Amino acid sequence: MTATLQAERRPGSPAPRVRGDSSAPWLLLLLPALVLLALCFVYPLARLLVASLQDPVPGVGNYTDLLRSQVFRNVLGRTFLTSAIVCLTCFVLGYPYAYLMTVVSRRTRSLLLAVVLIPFWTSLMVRTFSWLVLLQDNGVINDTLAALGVGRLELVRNTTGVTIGMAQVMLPFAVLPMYAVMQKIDRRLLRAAESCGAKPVSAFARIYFPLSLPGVAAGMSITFVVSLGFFITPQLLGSPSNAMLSQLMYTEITQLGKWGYGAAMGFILLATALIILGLVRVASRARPALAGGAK
Amino acid sequence: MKTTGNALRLALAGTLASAVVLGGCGTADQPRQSAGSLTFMSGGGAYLDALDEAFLKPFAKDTGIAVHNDPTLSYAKIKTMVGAGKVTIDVTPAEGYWEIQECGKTLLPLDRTLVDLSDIDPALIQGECGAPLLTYSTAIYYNKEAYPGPDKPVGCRDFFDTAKFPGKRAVRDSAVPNPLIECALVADGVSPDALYPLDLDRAFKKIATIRKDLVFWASGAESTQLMTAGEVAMIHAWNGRAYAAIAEQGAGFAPAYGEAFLIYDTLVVPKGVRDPKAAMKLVDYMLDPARQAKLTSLIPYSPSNKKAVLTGLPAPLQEFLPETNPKVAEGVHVQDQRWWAQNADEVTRRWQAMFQG
Repeated sequence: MTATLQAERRPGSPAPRVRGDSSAPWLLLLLPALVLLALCFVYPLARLLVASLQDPVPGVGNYTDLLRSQVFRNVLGRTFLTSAIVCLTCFVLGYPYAYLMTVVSRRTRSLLLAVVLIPFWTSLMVRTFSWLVLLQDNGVINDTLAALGVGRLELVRNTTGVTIGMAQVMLPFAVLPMYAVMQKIDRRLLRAAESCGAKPVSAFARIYFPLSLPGVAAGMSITFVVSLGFFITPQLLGSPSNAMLSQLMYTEITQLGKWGYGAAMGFILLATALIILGLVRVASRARPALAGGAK
Repeated sequence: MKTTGNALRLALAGTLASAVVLGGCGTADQPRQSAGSLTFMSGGGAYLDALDEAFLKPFAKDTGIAVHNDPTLSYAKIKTMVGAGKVTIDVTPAEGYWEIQECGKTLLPLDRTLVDLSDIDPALIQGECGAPLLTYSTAIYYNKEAYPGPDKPVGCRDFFDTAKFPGKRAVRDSAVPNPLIECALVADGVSPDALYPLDLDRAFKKIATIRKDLVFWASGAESTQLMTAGEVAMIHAWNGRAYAAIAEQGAGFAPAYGEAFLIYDTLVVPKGVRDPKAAMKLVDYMLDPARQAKLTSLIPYSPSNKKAVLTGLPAPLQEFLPETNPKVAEGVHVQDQRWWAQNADEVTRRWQAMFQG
């Protein structure tokens, strides 16, 4: 142990490699975070799992009932579909935005950052209600469309409304990780590619985009997972046929007092989300660029 | 080894710090009640302000018992507190069906030696654990622009008649206790006095006939918004919210009169409160007719006490309350919370299958 510690202190040595026994004391630094996680996350989660298996009667009845319920299966599928749509929307809007942030002047960049963060600091209820007012049939947007002769569109109380509302909330989560990765990409690589005869489009597609993929993967994973738990936005901007799983859970737990049933819903959602993220990870191993291997 | 010691000390300090933080989390939610104080839980907002003004502040003044407010009303929270044996609230207004469901399980039976229900409208005394505080009803309002002709919609029959009165109808986005079910049966020819037990097959079949014309509001504020923006042709809304939209915000809507379904908020005391007697005293205090009349002047809900005399209300408000407008009173039917308490689950399943599935 002593030898390793000395090796670590040697000036000019390569990045210290903390391995084996020597890391034990430093691993202790994880303890506060682990205690916090254990007590504030793992313990309640375990209680919830127990509730899902014991309330109202011991057994897996809640799970079999849920899997047999057409409504539950539809809502679960819709929850993942909605999250995927939001995720894709955030990518389409966020990728060019993050790219723009890397090429503009410092001042413009601060402005762009502020624009994407301001909604982040505004109450979710306020934002959601504002969207309702803007998007409704007689709202500002539809009045403008009608005046322009486009005609009124159904923008709210449907999937469109839910997607708009959720994508706005999630955009910072998509833009910031993408920007963080993009700003580190050496733009000289693009020039090198062009000097070797690549057209700008092809240099972007074959050099820049693959290098930015770790940011895309990070942003999309966060966007997708956080979107799974949305409640207020689909409730206000959607119709009941846009209901997501959190809304069903709310009904079970607060209105009907069926804790076990609601808890089981949460666990199925958690398990499904973990499986999907696991698959994404496996897929990204197959493509090293996604796993941050762009060296 | 010095490094090990440092790491260990840092880790210990950090762990201690997180333990302190956690301890803080645990107690922050539970203000230690001084002896002789009560905590009243409600949904907050304008409702809490009105209750505070009409009942809670005067109670503290009259009895010397301070009343703290907890604006985070949630039935799940109350059940959790009672289950964990750590009850930090004493009195809360609940919906009738929930009081009946939880009576004896989560809620204490009302102590009738301390709470006097003799002047309360008997139609509202449906459970053993609640003291009815106030009432409101779900009624039909129509968009005047949508039906400019001489023929105006009246009651549930017209609400369900999309041939005669076309256009979108807004209803509450919640299965329990949604009087859309009762309204559907009335529209299908059931007498409003012979509704219970509700024939759910028949009701949902009737609702399916207007399925594609329905839009939903999730909160009272949203129902007001639908009216002020003129988004729908008709709406099934709470009378207090319709008053806010029409009289205060100038929405172009008018009451369709006919059938309206009345529900009530009822005061309950959870099991395991520190001083049940003091809590019951606050409940009794809130049934006083003069103070209930005062509440109606602050927020558009009707009193549960038959002796409450509503005077000095603004004329536009009088149009919306059954106590002051015979045309409203004529159509009002009290919703049977006992039936809803027993069938909440079944209605929810059917509702979800029709609208969310």
